[in-house]
Amino acid sequence: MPRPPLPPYMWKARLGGVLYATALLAPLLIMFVPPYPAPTTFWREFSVALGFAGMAMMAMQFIPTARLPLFRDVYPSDTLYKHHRQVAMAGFLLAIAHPIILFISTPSMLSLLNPVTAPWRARAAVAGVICLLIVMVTSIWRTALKIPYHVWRWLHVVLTASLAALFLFHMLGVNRYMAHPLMRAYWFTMMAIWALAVLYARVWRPMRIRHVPYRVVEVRPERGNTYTLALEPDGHTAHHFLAGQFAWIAVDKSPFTLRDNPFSFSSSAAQTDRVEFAIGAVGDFTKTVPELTPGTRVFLDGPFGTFDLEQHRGRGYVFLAGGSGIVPIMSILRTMADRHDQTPAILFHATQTREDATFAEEIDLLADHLNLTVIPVVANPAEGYVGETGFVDADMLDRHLPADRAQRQYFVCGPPPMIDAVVAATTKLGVPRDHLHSEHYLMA
Amino acid sequence: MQDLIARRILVSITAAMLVLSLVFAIWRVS
Repeated sequence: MPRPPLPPYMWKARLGGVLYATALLAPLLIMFVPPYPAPTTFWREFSVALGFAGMAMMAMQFIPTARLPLFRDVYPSDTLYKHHRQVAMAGFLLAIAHPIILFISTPSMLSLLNPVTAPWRARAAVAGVICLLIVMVTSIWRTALKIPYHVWRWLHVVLTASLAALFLFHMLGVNRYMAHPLMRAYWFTMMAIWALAVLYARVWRPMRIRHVPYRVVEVRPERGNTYTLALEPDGHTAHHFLAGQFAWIAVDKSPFTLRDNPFSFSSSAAQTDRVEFAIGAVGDFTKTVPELTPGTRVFLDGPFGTFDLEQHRGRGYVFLAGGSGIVPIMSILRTMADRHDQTPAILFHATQTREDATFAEEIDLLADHLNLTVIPVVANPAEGYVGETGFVDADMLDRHLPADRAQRQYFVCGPPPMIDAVVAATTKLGVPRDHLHSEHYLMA
Repeated sequence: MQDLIARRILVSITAAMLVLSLVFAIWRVS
């Protein structure tokens, strides 16, 4: 049987991937182009190549998170951030192998670590490694170190810019392979793209959203320590979004801020005069949401995300929500109700307790209007609770999914262990991998 | 689906970089 044609977004995903991979591999390929500096030892040449490879990987890491259309429209945002972290880690390991191999193969080079006698190119490299270590430690252990999110973002921007400048200074100072005109052109182009991406994300986009502010009209408590934040456009029509997408919210006098946080829309995409977000009161910013007063000015950057029905239409849907993961799915259900969409759907609504189940009552009401079956799944049930308990697994899905399960589209939003469990369970039940769409709940 | 593509990109690029670095070093000193 011939394979079905790929949806358009997959071609975009592949094009972005090929361009990105080419940009990453370019410096290593340029090293094969003459003229060459005089060869040294195997270990030194190997370590230099690893240094360039690691540097290219780290230098390209602003691309996945710059909210650029080629990537944000096709890759789920949690995938982009996960990739950003993983490639940065791989780049770090390759780059740090460069001095380690040099010091082991040529111990006399350890004198370059003496800041008094070392040349500036070596001092820059040491300072760059210190910046890099601080970036890694503060990124991996930000929560444990109790660094507020917006402070960490400023630190991240300043430290990564510093380490890029320091490593570039080191490379130009050594000036062996960097003497090649193509290599110089590559790194200067990279710096220019970086500057453009920063201008795009931090100047051009905020300038555009400055003209379309919103005002808080209501903050409504929901079940599960969650608040609905209702906003109305201030002097313009609301952003068009697809049910399931999210936006970055900045509560500030100006959109030129790093104090913005991503939240999923919870309202219907068919409603344009008012948008709502449901926000769990758990983090630095989210805890302040209940204190927002009507009239507060808010800026929205978005919509973003590929977790939406429009790109993945099917003859039936299966929604799997864990905790706050219900928020984008609520937007999808409300939109389906507004559009009188009678496509058969099943919702697995997983929560710690039934009392924690955000929107439980409204979902029951929606089920009367939609072709929707709701399966509550409770991890810690009260005594005498009747219904599904524990965590979503293959046996539980098998009990409730209809015979057309392989033809349905699956949307899972929840904590990473739940997403992993659902991927494993649906694979076991024969659901094609491209029918499963996920969003990490931290983005919700 | 897209996370599979992202993972493939990560693994392929890291592997390609290691192989290219090794080939480069052998070729430079040969």
